[in-house]
Amino acid sequence: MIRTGEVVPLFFICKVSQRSRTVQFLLDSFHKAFLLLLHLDPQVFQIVWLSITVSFWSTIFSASVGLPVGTLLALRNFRGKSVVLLLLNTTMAAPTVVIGLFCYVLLSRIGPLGSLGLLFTPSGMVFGLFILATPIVANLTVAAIGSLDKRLMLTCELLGASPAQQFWLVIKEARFAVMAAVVIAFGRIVSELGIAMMLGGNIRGFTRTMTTAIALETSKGEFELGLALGFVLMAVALLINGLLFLVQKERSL
Amino acid sequence: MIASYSIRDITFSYLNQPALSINSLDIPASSVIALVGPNGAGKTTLLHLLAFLITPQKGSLSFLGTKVSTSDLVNLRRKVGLLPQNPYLFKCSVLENVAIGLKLRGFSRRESRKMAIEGLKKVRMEGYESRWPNSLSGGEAQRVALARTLVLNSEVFLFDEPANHLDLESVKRTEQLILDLNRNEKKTIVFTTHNLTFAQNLTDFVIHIFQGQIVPTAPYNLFRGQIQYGGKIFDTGAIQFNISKTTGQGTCLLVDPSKIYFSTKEEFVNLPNVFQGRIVSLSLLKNVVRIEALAGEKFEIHAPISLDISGFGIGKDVWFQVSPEAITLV
Repeated sequence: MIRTGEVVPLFFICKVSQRSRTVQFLLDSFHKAFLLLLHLDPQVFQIVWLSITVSFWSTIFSASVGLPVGTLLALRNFRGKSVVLLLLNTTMAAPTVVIGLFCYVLLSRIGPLGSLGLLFTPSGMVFGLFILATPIVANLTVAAIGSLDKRLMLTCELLGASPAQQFWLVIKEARFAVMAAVVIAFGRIVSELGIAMMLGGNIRGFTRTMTTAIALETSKGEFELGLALGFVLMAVALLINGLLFLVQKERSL
Repeated sequence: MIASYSIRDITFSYLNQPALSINSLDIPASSVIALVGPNGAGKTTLLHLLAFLITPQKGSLSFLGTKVSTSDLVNLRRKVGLLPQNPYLFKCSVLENVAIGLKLRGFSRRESRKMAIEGLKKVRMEGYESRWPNSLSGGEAQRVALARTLVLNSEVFLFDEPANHLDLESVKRTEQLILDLNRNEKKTIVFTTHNLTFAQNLTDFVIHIFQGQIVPTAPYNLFRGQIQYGGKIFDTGAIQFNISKTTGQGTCLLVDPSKIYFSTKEEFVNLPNVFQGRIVSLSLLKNVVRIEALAGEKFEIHAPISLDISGFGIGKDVWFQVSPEAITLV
């Protein structure tokens, strides 16, 4: 509190007034964001729904390919296995914009998959996110199965399991870690920006997801919608981590 | 009667280390056979071979009169039930664990659960159906795995150290289960054990395995040493054996305890392989008197139970002769 007649340096006054303006602005933004969520704003709802749908299908496709590939890699020995594992690890660490660019080339008109017309569509985004998440699921599955008890395979064999039954029993035994792998992949997909931006194009009402919308709104200096979507994204992250926590808790039982 | 297994000239190696080498072995149908031998002798490898988990690199293996083909291993494995030494239980309930082998064989969920409950009753594990493996003790887990093997109702049962982790009462019960399987259901049973008494309680047909080979006796008197003087002398460092009339090849010498002639007086003059020692223990085995004597090395001698042992006592001197046919090089 500055009293009348008190000598106060000018820069201090400027700083205090600027800080209060920032706080006010943030409070306003939060208020408007909550109102958008509370009133189920159609634009927010559409963006959230598209994000969840795209992430869901990307996760399903990634799990469908990543789980069997990871299981086979963990169980079978073949020449060049270490090279395949190295490549998978590299893909896992690749920047998303590089994956986005690669997929863009594939899906663009002149690309090999250009005739499918997937560029700047939700399906195109699913494709790119599938490319992103499959190595994650495969790698985590390799790790999950690699850490299983060495007696498991012998037990499957001595019980008379066919190769397909062995495959299923192994995945079932690693189910907690495998579920964690899928949940982690979903988390990675739903929070991804580069691929969604490059392959979706951030088209309003068509390919605008939570992350691309947040990036756009922030660049425009309009934080309300961005913050509202940020809350939803955080809620999704909380839900995912909660699921992971429950899975790990059950695993430790 | 067709033999359950017929083995001819098989060899099996792990990473170029010979693990098993058997010239000839027939396991008659409906017999109970014990594989006895020290750790690393090759008992488990032989059991895995009989369970079709490994295939011999050389030689032939026949099962129920048919030569084993590598293309039909899954079906062959379904005809035998193997209980491993340290069984693995799946991360599911005890009941599901017992039912798992049945489900793999195409039994319905209902049938397999019903059979699993019966199996658990056999091993006295009723009431444990909904428990998870991590809440079981070592002995309880072993009994669950035993139930999982028994419910398969295979033609052949293979048990790797079935008395492992079990208390005395459970060992007795396991013995009874094995006997019942053989007597009532005419199953062929092969099991491994270190415990010769356990083996003798169940069967008279004991196969001794040492260094991957079938040896004529248990390696009670096993000596390690070097062959010298152009293959005539085996020197353990403490004593020397004349091996000029001995069969076999190898760096270890086995002496059959039932083929050692002994006396409490100085005898066997001018005979090869005569040793003087002192009795350190006397005990009664199933149908023999077991004498342990120290003569540079520790010898185990098996005497017939009809032997008059009035002159024997701990600390007394004993002279014994190891006959050439008692010695095997492995």
